[in-house]
Amino acid sequence: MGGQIEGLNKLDLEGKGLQSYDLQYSGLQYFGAMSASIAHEIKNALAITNENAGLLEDLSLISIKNGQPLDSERVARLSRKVMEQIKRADTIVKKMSQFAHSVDDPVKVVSLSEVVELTLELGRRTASTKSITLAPVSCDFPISIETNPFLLMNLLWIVIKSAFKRVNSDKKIEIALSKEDKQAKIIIKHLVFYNIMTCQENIGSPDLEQEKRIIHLADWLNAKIDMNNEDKIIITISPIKQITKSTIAN
Amino acid sequence: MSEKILLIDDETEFLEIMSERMQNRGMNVTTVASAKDALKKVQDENYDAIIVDLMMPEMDGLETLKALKKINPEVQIIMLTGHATVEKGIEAMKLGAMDLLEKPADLNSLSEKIHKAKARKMILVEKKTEEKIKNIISSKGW
Repeated sequence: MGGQIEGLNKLDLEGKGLQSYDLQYSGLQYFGAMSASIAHEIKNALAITNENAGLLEDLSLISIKNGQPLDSERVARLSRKVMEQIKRADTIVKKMSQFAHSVDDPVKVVSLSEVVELTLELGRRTASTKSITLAPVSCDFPISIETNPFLLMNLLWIVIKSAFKRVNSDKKIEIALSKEDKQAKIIIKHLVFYNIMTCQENIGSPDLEQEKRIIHLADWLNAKIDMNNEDKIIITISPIKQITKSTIAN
Repeated sequence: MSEKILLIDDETEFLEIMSERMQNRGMNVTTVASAKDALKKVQDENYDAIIVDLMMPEMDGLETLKALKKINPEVQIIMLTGHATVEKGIEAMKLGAMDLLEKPADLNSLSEKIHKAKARKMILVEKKTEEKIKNIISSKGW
């Protein structure tokens, strides 16, 4: 295994022990951040359901007080709204479940578009707080890759987050996928030019902590990241087969 | 007199239903879906209480709180949150929030907090008026 990052000052890694600790901590941080975001989304759906139920109660009390029948159309409309929110919460919980199961297998053949789309779906709320839209992933044909899905999501999210500072004036990040032989490419588009030699001060390069995590994750995932491209970041991933649960834990 | 409320949340459906329920309780409610719109409203209008969602796109609840307090330091702000951490709560209170309520909120608790906010605002306004009168009296030397 071994990752390669163009456009980053490659750090000296202080041995695999530290690298592995950082990797686990990075994973936990990502898991925590996404869980908090999911919890927020569920709470919002619950809050709307709660208000709809409260309004139904209010309408019943008003109707008893005034001695008038309930507006059945209004009641039906409110019930539909409750059902819509339940559906919304159910979709969120399904995503959460998919995310939770991404740690089941250290190496697995996955659909790249599904993994990338799940990463985007989970990150959309965070991106929207920066007024950034994450467009749905575009891919004309199915791409399968043998990888660690959780680590790949973690790597992709850190790279996307570092790209927030490089986002174009339309504030929209698009992601395309492609495949060459056994390698798959994730192309993060619509960014402004970034050159480590000239632009580091002006246009956000990943901070040191992000940089360290990108390097460690890329190393584990056998990925190559080109951050030094004109208006895009390209992550090239090769299949990994050797990782086992014990190598990740150690 | 009914309480004049500004409700800020990016969930428009939440705004719609919550405002109807508050209006059913005799409150005068204005709703906005973004912090930017809220700042415009606060420049032109005076509210007894402002209810702000802690997590919103563009400008989050804490930034909104700071900006609102800058425009009108007497404004009484109740934060609504989907995921309250102790740190965020403390930060909000330090920045001058009157209270913090977790979503889904109980409307009776919220109404109580709104009554308290109105009373607090009235005390602050009375104090300010008293100080103004004192200043006028002392400067005129009557």
